[in-house]
Amino acid sequence: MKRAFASRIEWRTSRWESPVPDDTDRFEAVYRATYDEIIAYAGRRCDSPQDAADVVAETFTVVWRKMDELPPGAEARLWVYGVARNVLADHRRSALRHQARHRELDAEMADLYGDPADHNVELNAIAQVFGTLSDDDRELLSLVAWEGLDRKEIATMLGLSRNAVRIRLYRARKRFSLALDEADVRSTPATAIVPAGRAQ
Amino acid sequence: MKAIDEINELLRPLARIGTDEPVGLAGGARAQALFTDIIAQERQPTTAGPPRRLRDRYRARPTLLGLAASVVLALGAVLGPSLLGYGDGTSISYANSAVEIREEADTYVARIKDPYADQRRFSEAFRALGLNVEIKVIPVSPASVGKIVMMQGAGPFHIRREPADCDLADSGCFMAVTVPVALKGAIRFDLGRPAKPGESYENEWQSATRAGEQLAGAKVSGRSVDDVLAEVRKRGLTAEFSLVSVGEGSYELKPLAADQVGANWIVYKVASVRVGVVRLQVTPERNPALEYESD
Repeated sequence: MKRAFASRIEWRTSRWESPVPDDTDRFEAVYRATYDEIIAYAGRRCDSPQDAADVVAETFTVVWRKMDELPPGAEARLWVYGVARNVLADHRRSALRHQARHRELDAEMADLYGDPADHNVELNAIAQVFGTLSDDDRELLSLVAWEGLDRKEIATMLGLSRNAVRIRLYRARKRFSLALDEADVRSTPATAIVPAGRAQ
Repeated sequence: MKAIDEINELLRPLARIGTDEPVGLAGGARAQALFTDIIAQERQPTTAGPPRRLRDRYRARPTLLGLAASVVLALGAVLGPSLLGYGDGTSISYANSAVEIREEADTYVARIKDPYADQRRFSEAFRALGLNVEIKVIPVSPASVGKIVMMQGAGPFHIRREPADCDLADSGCFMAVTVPVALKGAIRFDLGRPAKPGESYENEWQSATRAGEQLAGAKVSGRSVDDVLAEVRKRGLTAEFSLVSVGEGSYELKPLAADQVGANWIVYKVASVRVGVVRLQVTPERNPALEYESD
């Protein structure tokens, strides 16, 4: 009893200010926290900076409009990833029209964009094999390798059960491994990736 | 079949934007420009259906093309150099000028970089991670420096110093608060920082008789004002007073001039005001609603 009473007394003597963040505050917070991640997510998946820019701008516009649906806690970040994924899919469907409209700008931006794989025969071999996978397989493997998401986070982002993610990831790994074998690409444990027959 | 780690090693070098370094654009002017443009748009009621096609939206709101262009410039800056390599698994979850939050195991560790910063900077950092955590850093008496001096909300919170056991008066010494990643609900707490010369303490609810304080070890609660003042003078301190006003399960403190206080009034608690000064919390008579330490 004494303890409870004392804590109430202590409480009354402090000067808390009421924290009532409005939607703008919440949006600003999630925007700042995820901006870099969404830039990277879009940049890794779009063929041009213009496409990536469109995806980033549209993603945050959708987030702003749907602030009511923003989940609390760590799920907020995954929810924004999910929005970006949907926007990206939407964007790809309209990509042809887009290229016609902004071809010149895209060419200019492509110079800035760079493509490390172009300068590396070994990486190109991997990239080509990776490109033969389905969109879903590529996305799952990329979310793990590039965004560093674990199964639980991917499940939250995609609205799937963890078990479903586990199984899909297993199958994606299997298909990627098979495709690498078929293309006769071997890897060393380190970063160097070399085609078969050229291994040291 | 290749292990997931092996596949990760194969794929990471393919990432056009490297996985080992933060992009570091969130605080930039272009990010701010896009933010400003977005919040200038009217919020629309949420629709359950799929998003409309991207191009249709852009036609409807031509300003978006402008803000997309600002992102393009930002992307060019990021994507120009090739970024190959591997992440080490450690990353800063959020940082601003006041605080830096990183994830460790199942906790967020918030390092207070600038204890004098606007407290909203602390809160915005936690909100960015989806947590409702309000932090105030207040000047406190010596025994409370580097500690959580006030808290509302439940949970396993910890505070430590980085580097361990450093002196918070040094510029390279920081407080770091640990909160669970899975934190639910609102948490508010006050952290104690050293007071600047002449600055008053704000932890007036904490006793000046605790170890390390100006009246360490003294018995004051329930004793007469005269007795306590003798102890105060013996230690070379001066005294101020406040009147304890007891309400329903709580009390408030009101300023009281020294000449209004009787020598036989009863001291409830003594708190430190600043270096060399303490404040006696008193009532004209012993009040049965208060819990005196000597009871």
